[in-house]
Amino acid sequence: MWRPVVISIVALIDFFRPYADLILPLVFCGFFFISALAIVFNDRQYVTESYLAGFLVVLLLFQTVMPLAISPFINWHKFSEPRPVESAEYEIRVVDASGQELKIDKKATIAHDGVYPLPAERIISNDSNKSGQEIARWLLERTNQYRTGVESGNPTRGTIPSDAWNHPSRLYRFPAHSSGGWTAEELSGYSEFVGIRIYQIQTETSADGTEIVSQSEELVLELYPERSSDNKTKVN
Amino acid sequence: MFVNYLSDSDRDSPINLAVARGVVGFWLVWKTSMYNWPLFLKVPYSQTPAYGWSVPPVAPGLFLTVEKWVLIGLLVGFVVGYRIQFTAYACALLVAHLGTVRTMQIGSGETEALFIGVYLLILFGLFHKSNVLSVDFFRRTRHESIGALRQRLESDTASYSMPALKWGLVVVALIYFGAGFDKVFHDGILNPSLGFATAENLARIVTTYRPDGPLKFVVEYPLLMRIGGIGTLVLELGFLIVVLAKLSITPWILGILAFTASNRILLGIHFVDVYFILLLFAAWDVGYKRLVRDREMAVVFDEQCRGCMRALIPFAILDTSDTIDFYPRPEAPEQYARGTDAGSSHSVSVFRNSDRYVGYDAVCELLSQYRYLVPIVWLMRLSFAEHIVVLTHRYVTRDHA
Repeated sequence: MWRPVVISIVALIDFFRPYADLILPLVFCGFFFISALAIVFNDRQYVTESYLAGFLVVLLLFQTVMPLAISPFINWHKFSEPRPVESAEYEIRVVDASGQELKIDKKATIAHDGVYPLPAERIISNDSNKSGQEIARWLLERTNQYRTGVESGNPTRGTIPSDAWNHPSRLYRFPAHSSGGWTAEELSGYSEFVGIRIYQIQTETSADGTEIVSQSEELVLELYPERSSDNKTKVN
Repeated sequence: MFVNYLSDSDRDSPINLAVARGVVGFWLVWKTSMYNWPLFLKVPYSQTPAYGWSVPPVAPGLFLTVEKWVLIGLLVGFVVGYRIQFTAYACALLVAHLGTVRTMQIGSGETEALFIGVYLLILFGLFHKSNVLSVDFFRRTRHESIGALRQRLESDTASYSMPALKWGLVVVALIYFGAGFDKVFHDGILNPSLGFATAENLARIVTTYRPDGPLKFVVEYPLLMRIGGIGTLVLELGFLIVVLAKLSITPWILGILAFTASNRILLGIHFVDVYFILLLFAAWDVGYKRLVRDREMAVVFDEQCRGCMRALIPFAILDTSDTIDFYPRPEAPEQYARGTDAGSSHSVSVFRNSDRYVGYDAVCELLSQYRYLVPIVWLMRLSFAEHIVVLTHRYVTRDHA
């Protein structure tokens, strides 16, 4: 009974995908146009009722059968896929002038504090309109700036670091979505960051999920934007 | 502790709705004021480039920063209840626009939560007339007849419906339902699975997300993991069911709050917005009653004075336990008749413990009935403040004297 419904929804989305540039703004503007009409004419008969019914039905569709969300509709589909025993994830580390490396603090990347591997994916897939060099240059500028902030006890992002209780003056900031991060003590051993390395981390967990049985890392890419010649080293 | 507005749609005071406006406003101001748009826009990649249309083509950093501060201004208007029909809608539009730019960059739970704020604001706009503790309501009383104003002061048995919270609760429960639904039907509606709720999956999530977390040891207890997994599904899927079945939502909200805290401790992911969203449904009016003193008081007012009655209405609304009796002058009981005859120059008198207070003292006495307004009374009791108020009053009313 459900199969035709599922197939037709997927088919519909595939059919409309090429027109996404048109559909996304249309859905957004359409939602606010209809909402404006409903709010202005809310004292007329059936306006509020029909608006609410329509809104709740569309929201329900986005929660259940729709495999994607279109702004302003959202879903909170989290951790739906069971975690595989073996997983591979990118990790970005910054490298200082003497070659020491340090895993990037998610909060340093400002816009992406929850989706950590995204810049690595963008650099490697090369499908963003900016080159890997540009992304690396931005990451270095950001991390160096953010680092200065951490060392002076005042990181840029509006987030509460893990040691907020030692710095009550930071409690006015909206709490971060992610936890942990660099501390000034940890950073004191590093000179200025000049390059980034992208690793692929292979993690294997035990069958019962309680421990990591093996973890291996593989250097995928190294970028030193300020070194003029041969500054992109592709390992493998 | 928490109100299921589907079974309990009418409250004896409008406190909850007003507090809910305050919570939404505080949450969204706090959250969006932290966004540094010029810095965000420098990011040279994005997660969902398809939302590129939401970035203003000219001076985007300046545009979005101005938009942010306009939003904050409008949110303040919304909180105090000024032209809610407009401010709620405009806030919803601006939050959604800023949220869409943010979705282009990153669509994590942090961003998605903004849109729950959008839905709540739209609902407040749709049901703007039900906001009684608001500037809008005070402005509306200007057009009410003297009889209607008097009725508002004398009646003790008002009830207030909160449709914005009722439908807001359905929306929030629906989104949680979706979270649970996707865990069971992630392989399509034809292949339900409880893979999420297995002990090893939960343990693996904790192990890979926060291998050195302080409570990492819990993964050693498969039964605990299993309960956690099933419990998550029960909380997420069951919330909508208890809301629609008009049962108590308190255990569910407490459960979701504990679940949110456990995400922070076990996975290092903090859904801060959840606390604000769920606090909307707390029974604020129950706690509020303690903020009003229970000493008895009587107010005798001039039933021909519109200004006096309009000024007294907020006090009558805030007096949710009916500790204050309001009497129009001709109907005041014997013991309050002293000095309140038609010829009296004072249009409002306050009586407490057979003492009579008029003018400036009456205002102080009335304010001090509400524990949270006592600081204002302290300020008013400073001698120079009284002097200024008396001078101003004389200036304002000199034409009528």
